[in-house]
Amino acid sequence: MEFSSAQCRGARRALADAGNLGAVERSLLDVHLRHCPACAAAARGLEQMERATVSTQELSEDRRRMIYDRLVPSVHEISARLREAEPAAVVRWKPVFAGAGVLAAAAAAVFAVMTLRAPTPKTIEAWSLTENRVVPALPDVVVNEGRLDRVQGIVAVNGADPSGMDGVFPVEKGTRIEVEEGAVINFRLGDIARIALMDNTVWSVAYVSESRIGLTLERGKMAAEFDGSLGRSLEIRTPESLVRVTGTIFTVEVFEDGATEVAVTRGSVEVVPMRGASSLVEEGAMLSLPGGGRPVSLGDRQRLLASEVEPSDSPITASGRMVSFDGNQDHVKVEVEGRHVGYTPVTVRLPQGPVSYRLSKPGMRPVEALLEKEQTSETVRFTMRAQDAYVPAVTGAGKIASSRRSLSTFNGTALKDEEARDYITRARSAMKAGDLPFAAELLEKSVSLVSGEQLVSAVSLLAECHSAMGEYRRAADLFDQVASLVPGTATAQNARYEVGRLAMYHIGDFDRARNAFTAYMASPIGGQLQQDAYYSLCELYGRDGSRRSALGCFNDYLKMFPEGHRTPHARLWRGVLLQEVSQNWRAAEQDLLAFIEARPTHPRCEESRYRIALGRYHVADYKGAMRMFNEYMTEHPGGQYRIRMERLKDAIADTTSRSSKRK
Amino acid sequence: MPTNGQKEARKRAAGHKDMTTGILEKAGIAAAGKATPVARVVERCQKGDPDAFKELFERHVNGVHRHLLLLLGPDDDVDDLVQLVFLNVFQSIRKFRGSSAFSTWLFRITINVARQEIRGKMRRRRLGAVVKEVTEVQEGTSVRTPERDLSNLQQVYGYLDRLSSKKRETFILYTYEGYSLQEIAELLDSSVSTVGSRLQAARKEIMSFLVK
Repeated sequence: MEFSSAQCRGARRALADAGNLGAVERSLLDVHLRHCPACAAAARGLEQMERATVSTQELSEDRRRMIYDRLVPSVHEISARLREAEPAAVVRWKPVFAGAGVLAAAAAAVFAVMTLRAPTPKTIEAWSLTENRVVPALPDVVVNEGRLDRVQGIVAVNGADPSGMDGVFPVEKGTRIEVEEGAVINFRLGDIARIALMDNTVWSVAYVSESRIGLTLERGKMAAEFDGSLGRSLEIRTPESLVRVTGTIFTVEVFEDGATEVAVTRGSVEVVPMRGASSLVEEGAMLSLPGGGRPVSLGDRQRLLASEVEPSDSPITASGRMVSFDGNQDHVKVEVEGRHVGYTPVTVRLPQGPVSYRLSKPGMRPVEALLEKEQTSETVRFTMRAQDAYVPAVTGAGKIASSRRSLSTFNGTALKDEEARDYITRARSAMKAGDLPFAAELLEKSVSLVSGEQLVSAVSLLAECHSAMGEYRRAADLFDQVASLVPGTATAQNARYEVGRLAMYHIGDFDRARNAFTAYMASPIGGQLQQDAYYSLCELYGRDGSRRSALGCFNDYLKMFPEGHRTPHARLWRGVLLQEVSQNWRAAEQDLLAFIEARPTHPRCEESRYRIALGRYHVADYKGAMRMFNEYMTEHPGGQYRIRMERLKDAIADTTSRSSKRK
Repeated sequence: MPTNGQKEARKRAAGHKDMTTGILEKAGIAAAGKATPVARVVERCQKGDPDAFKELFERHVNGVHRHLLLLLGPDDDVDDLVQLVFLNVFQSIRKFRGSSAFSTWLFRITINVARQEIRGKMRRRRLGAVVKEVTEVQEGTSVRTPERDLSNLQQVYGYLDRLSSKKRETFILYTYEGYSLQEIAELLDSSVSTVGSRLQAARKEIMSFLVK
């Protein structure tokens, strides 16, 4: 039979709109497809496209953290702006020139002085210093020790007298220094900063992370010389602002009335007020906020303040050595002496003397070794290997291996077993390495060679492989095969449960799922998944539209497992079914309330609250319904059921006004 | 009557749903099991609490990542796009007034970022800097056997790349995510009939690619 191009166009239009075709159109289309190979091919192609399994994996913890770390500078900047309750004064001075790139080219040594006089004013001008918002990947620098240069007066480091610390104290999140009135402490922060704290100051380390060090100055004065080379940055948080230092010399002073002075003694500083454009304050200039205007020359007071920590031409030197870790894998976790210090490529300062380190990455064999060398800097080059060596298939490898063993194994059966074992071992490695098609290929080969227990494990692995590849039907068939190979065992039970799960959630074959779950429940073997199988069975009824059966099933389930891990959800189901099937509003409310109590943050709490309000309306508990209405509006502003709730409120208002009129 | 493929896809998608799930839940954006309702976290963000930003990120990052992967296909730059989505969210958090669910608002931002990325890709392609594998896929698809194995994700997205961004979004949300036309209309701020037309047009175009 031949078709005109118009007929084919019509057929394809009908195919595209297949969901809305009537019975006659559908049968005409079927006839056309049966006789027109081109259109039939198009239909098959479309069907395959729609069946394609588009699955996505969740982000790993490491990747999540990496993404968030890149967001941290922006978060600080945005939150500093949002925190400012009062609108910022209009800054009239114009940017001398904008462009964060200029900052990157600024001097390598940084000298920063901040003063905050207690008590901290509540309405100080908010400002912050910014650089490029997208932070490039930079070498990690870990500051792990502070070295005392001078202590004068009463000072406490982590609550203790620093004189008993041999001149060194640990610098990590939470390290805290308190300085009394008239006292001064000078110390070095690893090899990246020289710091002076004076006069009634409370200072602490907020975080030490990849390429950034965060400090908190609760009150008092702080002066610092900071080495901003290698793209490192220092952030100083005060109760009202955030300072980010990357590559210049400046001083900052915050007065009791909230006024802020930014004075630059070397390089340039970019100042971003809470609102308005950023500005650059250049060397020898000072900017006062609020008030704005153009930057003016800095005075003696700022110079005096800066002199608390004299900028030094000599580099800030630290004890210990700089060690870089680099190898054939990136983003390898580095731990030194059991402490996580970063991810590769990374450079860390380590104390002199032997230190142990451990390198680890998911899927790779960890590397553990001792670093004994004493030179000032070095690079540790490492090679990591996959956790289980993943060897591609080599024909006959198993046979060769087996023939070398003994004469007793040199017979057909042993040879087959050996070969099959070899296939299975390599398939496991391939699965771990993520090469599922290859693993499946190996397992298919092994299945034809083995019997007994080995066959069961090979088929189970093959089923897992297909399941992971998204070939759910094939996986379910294989699990069925496993169940039939070892009837009456726990393995068969688990395989049945898998068949039910795949059929229910992936294949959409509810009958098959029901059979599998029923078989699981009926088996005298039992199993740890009884509760889940029973719950799934009840859910199947609900999804299938057999709501009355579902209600009965959930009733039985809750009698059987009153404290199970699926109980809250079963109560939610039963609550909904009680409303829809038997209009038993009171009983439904008990179930829905129990669900909200057990899972207060579950998204379906919203629906539950709506249903509770609806139920109360039906039993004429209007006050109760309004209470639930208010609770809903508080918990889910802008929720999906908002319009329905509004309607319900109107209905309650109508009913109550009518009844009051009647009275 | 839907085609077998559609039935299959709908059933598969139904696996994600419960009886009367809302968009929030299906979008995978709303994460359960957290101690504070989203609205409160958003409110804290609006007040400039840095911890709230982190909490918001942790709650929604997987959903955003998943959506971007679905909308764009396998993409090496997806982490950067996730970052961009959250940067946009944080920067405009004050503009969120709660007139829609937060997840819907977030989803729209995600869609916009994905659209920009698709437009960028198309522009690069016009300039001749086409990603190699996409070219290969497209060349490979114009052969005489359209029903060839489409299980390869690159191949599927090779076809989807040839659709306009709106048709592509509609097709993906309907076919692979299991949203109803009404839900898609709400997410994309469009009418149901427009979404229906887009879906139909997407299917027609895909078939035309297959038989060419």
